[in-house]
Amino acid sequence: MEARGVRIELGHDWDPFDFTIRHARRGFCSEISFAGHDVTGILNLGTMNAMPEAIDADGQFIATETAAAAVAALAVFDGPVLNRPRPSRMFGLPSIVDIGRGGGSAAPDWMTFGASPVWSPDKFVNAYSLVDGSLLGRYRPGEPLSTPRVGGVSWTAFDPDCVSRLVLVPGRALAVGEQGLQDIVPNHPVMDLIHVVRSAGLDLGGMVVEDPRDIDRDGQGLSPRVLSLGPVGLVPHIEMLVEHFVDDVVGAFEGGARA
Amino acid sequence: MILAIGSAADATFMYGVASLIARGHRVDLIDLVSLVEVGQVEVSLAFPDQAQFTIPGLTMVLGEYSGVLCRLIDLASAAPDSDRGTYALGVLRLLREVCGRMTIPVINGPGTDQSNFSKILHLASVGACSDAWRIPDTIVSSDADALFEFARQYGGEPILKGVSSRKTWVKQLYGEIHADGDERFAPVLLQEPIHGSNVRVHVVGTDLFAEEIVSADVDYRISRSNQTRQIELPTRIADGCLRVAQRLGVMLAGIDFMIDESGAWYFLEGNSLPAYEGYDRRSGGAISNAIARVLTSQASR
Repeated sequence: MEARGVRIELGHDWDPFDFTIRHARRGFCSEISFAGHDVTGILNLGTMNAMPEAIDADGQFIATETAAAAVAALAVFDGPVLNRPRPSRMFGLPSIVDIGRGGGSAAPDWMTFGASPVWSPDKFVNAYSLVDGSLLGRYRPGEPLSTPRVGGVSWTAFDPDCVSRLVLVPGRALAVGEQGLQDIVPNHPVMDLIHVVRSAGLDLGGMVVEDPRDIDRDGQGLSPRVLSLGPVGLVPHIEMLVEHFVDDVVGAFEGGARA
Repeated sequence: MILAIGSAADATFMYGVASLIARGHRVDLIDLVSLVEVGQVEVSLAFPDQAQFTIPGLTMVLGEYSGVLCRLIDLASAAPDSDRGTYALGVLRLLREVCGRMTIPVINGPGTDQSNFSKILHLASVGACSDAWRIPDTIVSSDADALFEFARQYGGEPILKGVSSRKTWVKQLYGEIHADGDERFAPVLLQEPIHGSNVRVHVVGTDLFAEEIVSADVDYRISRSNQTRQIELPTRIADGCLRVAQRLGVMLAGIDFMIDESGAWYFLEGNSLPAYEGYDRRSGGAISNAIARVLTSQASR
């Protein structure tokens, strides 16, 4: 983006930011500055969170108050914000949980705490931490599922032959293939799912989708489902693919439209 | 039969359990701390009502209950060590998913609006869902000049509140904001002072219970001089309150208003985890009766 003349500042925490959010008769608005410079657009990578790691009570209080101001400032900012925070999901990016709530088909299949599921799918199974989303293990079809007590596990069965990786950018959805990134045609069945994902607030990000039509040519009663959702870095080697969509991202900021 | 999930150390939760038992309902209780320490949970998300909770000697299946009384408070931040904190966070996330997908009545599930974390965003999201009331002019900022200018608009005596959902007490400032230099500090929330009475409304399903509180203090929660009375809500305010509960995605909501001296209503907050004991006692148990009605509405199960 900088090569295209866009000045970028990277914020790794809220400290360099100043926020002012106002409500008056004309509604809500916010002003955001970074190291003393006015911010005109925001790309929310979803890496900031509400759980301050300050070691003392005063530090935690200040960090929480700052995070609460920050999320409000981003949410009501009048300029473009990609991956804008929403009342339903204050921090981070939309998760597969949001997709399920939004009416889309999404993993996981099971959740457990302190136990392994009474479940034996004839598929591969991934086990993820409910606390931080990290991958805890992968099980082959029929392999007994077991996991240490780690604070809760979500379990997702999938067929690796039916898994696709997608990139969402403003105005476009792209599939990762052997030839790089390819636009997904508007009438592709996965577009309904992508619409749910966009409605949940993901403007720029990566998706892992299981499309069972690949194993059931009729597609009867089966629909694509989201296995994983996150920043564009979810797609391997995304840095090699950025040129395919960086103009769309720049355009979203230059247009000045609300993302 | 009702399932209750919460912390035995949470006074509001235990008040709710005791109220149900006092009304003759059988209640099975899952203490969150016990669940974190020694419990197990298994749930297929395709069949959330078949979620199974096990605490040594006792196994409970959600589908066997007519309703769930649930207060999912944050145990992780009070955990004695990081392992237990991690377990508590995992249990909380699992329960939020299960409670959000149940088909039986639950008071309260995780809700659909988390904006309460940030008071001003909460005003923008929940407060703005009805035009029956006004929202007080508000600023959140770390800019001393902006805060000073806002305070000046209100005679130097704005209301000061915390920015986030952390427990803070409301106070009124009296000329304590100064525009004096470049020092940076944490953001603060200042609000237009409303002079009048407070009203707390509880929504339970489609029932509404309102109490007016006249207090000599800015924050009536810490006042010893309150005068309270049960009131009927104007129709538009009542409709708006139902809309707030709907926006929050919960069956029990506590909504705070102020009425100024001209009779105008101002929205302050909609709470999806309200501490309702005092209001319930003063209403003769009306809130608890309504909660019991909701949780037993599918009692044929």
